Amino acid sequence: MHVYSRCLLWVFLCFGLFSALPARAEEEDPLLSVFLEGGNIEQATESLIQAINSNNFSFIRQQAIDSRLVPAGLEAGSARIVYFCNFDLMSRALAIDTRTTEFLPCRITLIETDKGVELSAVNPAWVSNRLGNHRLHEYCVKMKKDYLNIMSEAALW
Amino acid sequence: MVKPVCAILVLVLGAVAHAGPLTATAKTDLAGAIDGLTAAAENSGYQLVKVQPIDQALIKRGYPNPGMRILFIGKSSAVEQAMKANPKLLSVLPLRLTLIVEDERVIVSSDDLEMWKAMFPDPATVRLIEGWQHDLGLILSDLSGR
Repeated sequence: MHVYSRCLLWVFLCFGLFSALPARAEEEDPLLSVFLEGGNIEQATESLIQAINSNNFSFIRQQAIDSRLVPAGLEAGSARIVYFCNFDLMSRALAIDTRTTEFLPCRITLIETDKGVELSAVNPAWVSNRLGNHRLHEYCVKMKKDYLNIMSEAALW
Repeated sequence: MVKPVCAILVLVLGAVAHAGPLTATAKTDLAGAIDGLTAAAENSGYQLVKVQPIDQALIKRGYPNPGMRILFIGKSSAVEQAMKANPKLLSVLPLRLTLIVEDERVIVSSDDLEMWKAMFPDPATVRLIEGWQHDLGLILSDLSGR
């Protein structure tokens, strides 16, 4: 009985320590990013929207990063968000796991620098890794590929 | 006696450290929850940026109603701070809240910002994220208290 309770104590301690550590997404970066050399945010946005449409996604809207947070006309010109969606994929992913909303609708953030424009997005495969739903992960890996295709295609301007 | 107490303490601390998304429940319909969140966000210095009616968008295209909607809130100082501290954080702004309709209540949950702290452990980034988590906590408890 004494050995049993000691084992039980170790199990509890190990579980406690394990759950105290943040769950780490295996082999996935939290962000997907592609740098578009040269050009400005307007050109990058236009190129990105074309790439979204040619990859079977629907462009939803674009907005300045601080849209509706500052008076109209005073928004930051150097950072923008482009929203898009594939409704079929979204419906199927939501049916599997409602936590999918953590990366829906799809969004890519554009940040203009003096050397070009950086495109970045939360990596869906990173999110699904830590959600621990294997069925969802399949969709997220596909979505990650779609993001990278879109961003790479946008870089071919 | 001490050992079991320590074990329980480790378990509890573990659960706290791995907090995950923040959630709240409001006994109202979707429209009521959106109004309540808008007011709660304003009380904490945030603005409603956009209500994303993904339910309506899916229904319109012949898909089943997922019974949920997404709402984005933000404040200009959060954008400025993220630009200074860590521009990669702009990818999670404006902050997203998911509203799920369940019977006669709406469950609201935030994105899991805890993981971003683990990914970007520098003090400035962690402080910024903790500030947002704190604000989201206030907003959600404000909503539940209505």
